[in-house]
Amino acid sequence: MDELVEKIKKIFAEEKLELLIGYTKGTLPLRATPIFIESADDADKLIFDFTCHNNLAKYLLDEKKRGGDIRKVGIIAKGCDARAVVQLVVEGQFEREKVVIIGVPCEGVIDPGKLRKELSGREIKNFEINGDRTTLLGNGFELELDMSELFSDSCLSCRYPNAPQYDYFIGEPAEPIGVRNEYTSVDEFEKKSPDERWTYFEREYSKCIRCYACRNACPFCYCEECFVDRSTPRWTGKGNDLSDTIIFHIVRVLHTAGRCVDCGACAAACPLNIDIRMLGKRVEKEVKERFGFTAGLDFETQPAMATFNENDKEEFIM
Amino acid sequence: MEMDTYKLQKGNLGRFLQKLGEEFAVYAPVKSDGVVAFVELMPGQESALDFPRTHKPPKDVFYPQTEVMFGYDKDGMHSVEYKGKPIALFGTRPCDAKSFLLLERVFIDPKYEDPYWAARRNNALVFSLACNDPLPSCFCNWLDGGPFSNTGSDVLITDIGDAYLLEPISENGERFLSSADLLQISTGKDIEKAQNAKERAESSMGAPPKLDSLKASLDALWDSPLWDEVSSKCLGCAACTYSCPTCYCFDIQDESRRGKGVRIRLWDTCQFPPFTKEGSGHNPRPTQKHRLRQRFMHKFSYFVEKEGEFGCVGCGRCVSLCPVNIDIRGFINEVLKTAQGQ
Repeated sequence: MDELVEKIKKIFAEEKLELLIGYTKGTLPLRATPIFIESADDADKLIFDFTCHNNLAKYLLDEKKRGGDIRKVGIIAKGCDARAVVQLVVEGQFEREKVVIIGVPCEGVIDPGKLRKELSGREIKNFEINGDRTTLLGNGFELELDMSELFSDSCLSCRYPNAPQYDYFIGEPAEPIGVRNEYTSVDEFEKKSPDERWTYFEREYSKCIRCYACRNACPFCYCEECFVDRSTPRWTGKGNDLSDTIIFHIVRVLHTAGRCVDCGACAAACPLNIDIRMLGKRVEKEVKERFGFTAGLDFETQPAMATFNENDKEEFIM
Repeated sequence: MEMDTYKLQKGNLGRFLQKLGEEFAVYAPVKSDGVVAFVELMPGQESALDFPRTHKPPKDVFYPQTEVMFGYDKDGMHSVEYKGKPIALFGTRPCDAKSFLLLERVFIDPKYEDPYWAARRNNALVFSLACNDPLPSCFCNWLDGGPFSNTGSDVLITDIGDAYLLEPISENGERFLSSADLLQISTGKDIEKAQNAKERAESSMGAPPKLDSLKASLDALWDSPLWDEVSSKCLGCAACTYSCPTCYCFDIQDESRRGKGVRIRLWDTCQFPPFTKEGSGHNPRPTQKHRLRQRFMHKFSYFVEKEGEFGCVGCGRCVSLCPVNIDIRGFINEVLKTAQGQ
């Protein structure tokens, strides 16, 4: 950890950073929280480990909205955070010159929703880590688990644990944890009948309380006004009617098609542990198969949905 | 007058709830697809009483997230009233039971009575289950509550191992218990067990900070950079407000189609920009700092000003569910510390 702090202090000076977005220890066990540092002196507060699940690229957009001159921002970036930064730059949302990507090796991060699910309503006071295993300690209980059982589903099939583009890289690049093949869950889901799939989506989305934590955690949901918030005209009902809820989720997934970096921020933000990722991953697969495009890998390639290539497969166009 | 306390063997719980269901629509925590929430208990359905804190607060039993206020068509309007049996909530935690009293101050005002709230809330019985094991994120004891607090309950239930101890709190609670089947009068030993559980639970929570000066501190710190700090990471979602047992703000919408429709009211939240957006396009709370400040000020200053107490019961849901770990307890401490240093 000292290496991180030390290097960040150097980078602060070298790059004349005015803001650094990183992580610090949270108030709950196994939780980190985003932190915004304006001076190298505060770098001691920084941490990076398996609790740092938030996608910090989201906050670049806040910097833009802040008004005034855009400051030079450093950002601690796991593979997915860095890809989100790259994609935001490609989409013209942030100037490349204004962001310093500081890559850190990611060996998977804990999804707080999965942790809650494992604990089934209980909460922990402490934890111990022993290699790939962890022991969760609470009031009168102990739960021993594989760390991977708490990792975000996105991490379990992540191909880019390290920033594909960066200005600095702190530490040794990580190997993908590769517990699962990237599209296994999607492929298996596709084998189900339409009725079974519909039942699944109905079950998942009927839990939705329309808090929009998924949307607000997503680096690519930056519309000035989301279609669900519009009142003139009103595109969809605002209550928790299932069809309205599903419209919201489907439109969000379509709107992030070819942009989603599968960081898992949407799923991790959901207070009800809804499987928000399934639809998104399916669309990501579609984009990859049809257009050979993976979002956020470099600053040059134009996003699949923003470009036309005569070699694009077109058999789905009527 | 000292009221008797009663004992229900755990093995008889199902039958007890069934009996309760003859007179009441019984709402209890039920686990469905990983989510525990208060839903109407159907015959034979199992309740998740052991679950420490339901994902959703029980406020939606009296105040559903989406509720039809009335319907209309070309012939006129027709009211939609709750016509079900009186409601019994079984297994609410003491924090959630207290939330009903806070919500009531809003929905049942001396001048205005909200008919939708009143229709479900009137004649309702609240059976609270005391918390033998408060969670690390719980802070009810900061807010005049406690794991065994009976505020807002008609009956307080304590898990004493193989049985539940049922203590009547209100007259309605006593009336129901005194004529209910399957109950025994509890013994001194049962009461001692409950007393021990209470002491254990209360001492496990640690000493709360004194909040006497919180309102004044917040008011003094209206322009403090503290707000920038805490709001800078806020995503502006409603995970906190929609999981909050005391948040009550709503929006009203018409949903109509081909000459008929309904007017619905639905939960809304101060965290969303359209909440205060005016017809002109102007928004008096233009940034997340303004919106987050509103949430905290409403609970710990404005509500105190209007109702004489904090608008928070310390259930800890917002602490546990915030996607970026904004911890209202830490913020309160920060406010108290900063105000003291001024």
